[in-house]
Amino acid sequence: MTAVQLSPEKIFKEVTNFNTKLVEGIKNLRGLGDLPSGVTEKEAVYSEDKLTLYHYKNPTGKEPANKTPLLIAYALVNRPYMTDLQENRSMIRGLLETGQDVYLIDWGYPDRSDRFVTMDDYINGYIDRCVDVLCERSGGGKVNLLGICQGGAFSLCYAALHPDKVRNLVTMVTPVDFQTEDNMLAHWIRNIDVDLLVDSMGNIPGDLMNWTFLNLKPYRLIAQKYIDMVDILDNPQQVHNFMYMEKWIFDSPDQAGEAYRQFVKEFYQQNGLIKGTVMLGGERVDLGDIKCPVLNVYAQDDHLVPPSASKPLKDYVGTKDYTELSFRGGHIGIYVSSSAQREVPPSIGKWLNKRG
Amino acid sequence: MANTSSAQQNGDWFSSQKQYWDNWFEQQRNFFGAAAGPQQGPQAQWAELLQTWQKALSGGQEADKMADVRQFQQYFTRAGEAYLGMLQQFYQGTGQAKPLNEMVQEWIESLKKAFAGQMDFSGMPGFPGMVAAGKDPFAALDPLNFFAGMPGIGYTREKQEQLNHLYQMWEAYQAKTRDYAASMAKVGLEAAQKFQDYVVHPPEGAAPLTSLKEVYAKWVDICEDIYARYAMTEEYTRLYGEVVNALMAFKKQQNKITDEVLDQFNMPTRAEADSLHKRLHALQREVAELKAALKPAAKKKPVVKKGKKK
Repeated sequence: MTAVQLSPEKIFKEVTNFNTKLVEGIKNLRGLGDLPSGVTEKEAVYSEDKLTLYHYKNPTGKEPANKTPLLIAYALVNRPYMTDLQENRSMIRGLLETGQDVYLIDWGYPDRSDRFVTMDDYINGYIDRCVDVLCERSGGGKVNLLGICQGGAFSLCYAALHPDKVRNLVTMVTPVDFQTEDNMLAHWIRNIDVDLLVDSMGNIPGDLMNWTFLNLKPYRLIAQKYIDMVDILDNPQQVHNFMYMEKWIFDSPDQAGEAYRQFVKEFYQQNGLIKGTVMLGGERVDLGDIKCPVLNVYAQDDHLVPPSASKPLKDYVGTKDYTELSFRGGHIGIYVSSSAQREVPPSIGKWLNKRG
Repeated sequence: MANTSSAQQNGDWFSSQKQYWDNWFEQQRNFFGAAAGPQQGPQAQWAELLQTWQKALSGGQEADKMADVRQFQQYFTRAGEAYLGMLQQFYQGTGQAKPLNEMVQEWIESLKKAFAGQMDFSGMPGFPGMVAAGKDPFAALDPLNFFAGMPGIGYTREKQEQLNHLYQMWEAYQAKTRDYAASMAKVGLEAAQKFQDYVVHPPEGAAPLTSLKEVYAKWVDICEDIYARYAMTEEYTRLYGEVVNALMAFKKQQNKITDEVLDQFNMPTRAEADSLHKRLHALQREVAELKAALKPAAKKKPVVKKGKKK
């Protein structure tokens, strides 16, 4: 008994079908047109260096029910429009619908003039000044902070160093323990001479980051994904959806060299966030100083930030109001899948509204 | 099944197959309007599709002239070719009335051969950031490899030493690359063996693979499984670190020499630009700190302004 059961007819049909779709597909690819970076109307309310702070408008025109502004801090890797990819795939819209007053930091594309921007600059500088802008606009003294992935780690640092300015903290797919057994990236980075890397490259190219991420699952992400793509090439809408994702995945800013050096060395190689050894602006980051309510959202099938890297947060924060939200999906699916739209923003909104 | 086909059926089969490919090539020629000769197989069409796609995405830029895009495209093309090659192999095998087991076995053997011969940084495109270095970074600097292994003498001694150093670093990187590629070839061979075992002795209750797509998907699953386990080992982590570190050491030395060449031409260097950025950044931080220090005073201002307005 062999595992392969094929007939000549089936093979013929399959090959014909594949080739036909391949040819048809080119027409659809050529007719794609421009792919926007984000779909919900927004206004730039502050900018500094490459950073722009956006305020989102509720498409329904409703005023936000929750008067505490919600600031989203995205990772430096990739672009934040992942949270607002398409009309029916937008975490931003989902949050607006729950009555949040949503702001988002767009870090922009660092170039060589940003080579010496440090983590201190990002957290005690850029994020803090954005928080001040929001406090001034809202007339309140605090914000709700939502950090995504690396932006979640930044948000944890910020909330620990500026507890007086954060009412509630939400972390999404955020690494906390950077040295869990199943964390492939953490394994790989162990023997990298990060000083040499940054000294040689200056900023770390976005392509290099992508190259690393693709290598986490090379056979699937570099080959099979595009073979599977042929299946949808004859469907313009599906091609459109595929390309939205493709554009986002490879729209990768370079990483400011010094911030990258510090993040990899102190967070990945030294696991400083949970060891309490990270120093920013001369102050030690102690997660125990986070006393505000915390919602930790993680994805069960996340291969970039495994749940085991996120869940230890509960053991280190100083708050008594700690909640976890587990989503059945991956690192990207938590923003774009249809089940994510149904589950994630409404749950976050409900959690925030309960706490003001 | 195929192995029971008669000679007559085989003749029909060959005829239909020829007709099919003829139609396919004609369709392609019409579509592309290009000189797609009949000698080109579906792999060539796959490459054509990808080129068209890349050009469309690059907004009319000539993507194929950009070195990094071209490198990735080549890899990407190879990835598709692996699947298309499989399709064609099975397709032709079926036409030749080969027993299915034989076709599967032939495919596995071709995979093994491919992995055994793989010596190119796991078949990945050039490491990002290496594009500027090119395949042979010494072609311009030292076309005769004169400096390799020679101690420097005379008043240009230091420069010779630096070039020598650069050459040694390139060789070290090449050696690490070979080690890495060899380890990845082992992963491929192990995957091919495991796939063969799966095909011949499928686990009890395993659903049969009833399409080439399923066969391919199973192959990818097995590759990923073996790779994921290997990529977490100390051996892989060490090799990965060594190849990246060797490349970065080369690149750092290359930057240094490039700066010296620029300096000789009275051009601004990277080191100078970095110094300027560093100073500017320090200044920006100082300004930000001063602004922050002035903030409490500034906060009082609106009260004064309010008073004035009233």
